[in-house]
Amino acid sequence: MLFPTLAFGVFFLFVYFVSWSLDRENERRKLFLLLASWFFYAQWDWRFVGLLILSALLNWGVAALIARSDASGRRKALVAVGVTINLIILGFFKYYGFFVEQAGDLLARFGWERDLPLLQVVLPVGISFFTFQGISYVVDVYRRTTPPARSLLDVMLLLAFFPHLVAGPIVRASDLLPQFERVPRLTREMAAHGLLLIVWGLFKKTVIASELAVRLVDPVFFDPSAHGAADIALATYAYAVQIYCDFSAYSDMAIGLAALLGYSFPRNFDQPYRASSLQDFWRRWHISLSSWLRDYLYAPLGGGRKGLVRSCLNVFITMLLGGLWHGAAWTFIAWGALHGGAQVIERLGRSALKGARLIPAWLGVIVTFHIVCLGWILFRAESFDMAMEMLVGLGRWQALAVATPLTVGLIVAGLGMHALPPRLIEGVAMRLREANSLLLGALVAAAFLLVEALRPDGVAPFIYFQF
Amino acid sequence: MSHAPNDPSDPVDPFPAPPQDSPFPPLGREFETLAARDGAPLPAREPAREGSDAAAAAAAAAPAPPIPAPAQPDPVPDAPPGVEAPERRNALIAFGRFAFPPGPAPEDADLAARDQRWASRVVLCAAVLMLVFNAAAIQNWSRQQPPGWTTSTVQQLSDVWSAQLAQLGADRPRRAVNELWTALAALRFPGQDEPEQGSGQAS
Repeated sequence: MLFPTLAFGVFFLFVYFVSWSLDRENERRKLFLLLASWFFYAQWDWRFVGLLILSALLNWGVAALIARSDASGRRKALVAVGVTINLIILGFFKYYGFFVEQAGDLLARFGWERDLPLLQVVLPVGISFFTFQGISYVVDVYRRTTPPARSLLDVMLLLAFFPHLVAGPIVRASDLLPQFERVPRLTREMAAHGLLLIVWGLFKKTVIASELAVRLVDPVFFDPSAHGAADIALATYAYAVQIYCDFSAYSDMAIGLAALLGYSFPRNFDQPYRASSLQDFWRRWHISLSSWLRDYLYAPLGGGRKGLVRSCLNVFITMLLGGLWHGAAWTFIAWGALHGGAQVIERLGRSALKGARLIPAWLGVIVTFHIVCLGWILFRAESFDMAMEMLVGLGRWQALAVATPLTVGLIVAGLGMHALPPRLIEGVAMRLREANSLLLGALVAAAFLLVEALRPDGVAPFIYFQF
Repeated sequence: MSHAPNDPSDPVDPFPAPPQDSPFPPLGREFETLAARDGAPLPAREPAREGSDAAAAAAAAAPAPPIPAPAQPDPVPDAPPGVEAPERRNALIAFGRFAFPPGPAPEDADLAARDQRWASRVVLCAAVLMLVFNAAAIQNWSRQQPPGWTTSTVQQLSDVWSAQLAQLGADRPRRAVNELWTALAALRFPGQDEPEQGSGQAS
């Protein structure tokens, strides 16, 4: 059940009205939201609801044991067990096939061909997100930065809450558990903000991302050798816009849906193509993942506390593993290495120049954007060969064949939205809270209708569902 | 756990205990008592008028009630600066007497309910308008479902609904925007070939 579908719209209306009818009975309300979330997840594969429940039980149990223990050694052992269990779940479903295949290739090179136990493991939707949430919960309880949940119900809902379940944002226990402990309240600001984010997300996903994918990105990436430099360059820019509009749309809709149910999620995007460095980019792109990697991987590795060389190594390892998190393929690892390598160069440059600026900020934005686009070629291509074909094609002159005025206009619009005031939607929501409810309802309906009229038939799954 | 003077000792009892006798002297003597304890000179009394009644004279001659001894200093030392006193919780809530914690203050609860009604009206109004002006979406959805009793019923209902609203012209706004968008999508750069059939047609 995808967000931009009629089935989801009906489902959400039902959840919205029933949940607010239970607003005086918080425990029952949470139970209802949990059942609704399981139903939502079961639409992909009902068997994996069991995995969600198992993951919640394990994380709740380990965190409870950590909280009850005062012995430092025991706490460390428990947190190691908790993190390992989460990684085993993630590793089995997501990386088993990849690593067995790589092991088979490696053995074959040494002349030891073996029949390795290859399994066709179905990847549960959103597994990377809920296992990372589980890890953060256990580690936060261990670090005493968040108290353990008061009930198993809270942990189950934390992991399964349907707005963030399949593609984030990665909402941490410290963000959501305190909100579960009290009866939520829906203010006019939250409602107006939520509705605006849903409409805006729907527009970005179904109009900009879908149109660019169907009309430009997919045809060019399918066969780069058949296209010239202009089409390939525009398809690369289009993919940069597509992936931003696709993923940020999901985050916007998730935040908006949660707001309508009375819960607040953290921001996940902050106009990433305005970044003037790769470090800045990762403070604006998928913020919940980059801050997760910072707190649970980069910092435990030593962060920047152990000198320049060690901090460079740590940031490179973090980005490399961040690339692997996105998918079990060498192209994703190369993508992570590109971002890690670029950040290492930035760090060394900053250290050598002692904070002096080598290029003006606007040039930094352009350079950063093009490094990011280079990364997107690796991210989107199905193999290194195809990525190389894209890069080789950039030197081949040929008239425009696939790009049209509409697709170019959508690219400009997608990049142009980064020039809007950073908190525009919040500002509009503040003004709309004073509006008459019927007038605002009509405005929202008109916006939905406009999106419905522009969008193509059907809707492709969100790109980040596969992660 | 500390209790306020009127808190019940048994938390099951929801009613406050009756107030105890006041440890303070009667109201009229309060000023004198405080002044005497602090050693300050008392203000001059208004001379008694001649012919005042005997009761008043007797009252003045009577010995004053005993002055309570000044309170002993608190044997518990003060908390060091920067340490906040623990938050005092209502015993009834702490013992879980109520199934649910109390709601917000009445004014706040009224405001919350009003905001919620406002938001629900917005959502409902948008949903109804979409049902009218975007009836084709239900039709499209029902046609994409696997055949069955439910889906064929929904399909027939949505066919009738769409046809009736189309007669009223409710589908015109969506169609007009869609036609404009399709025309935009068909635009080509000078010298560019015509689009291939079936590639990314808008609905």
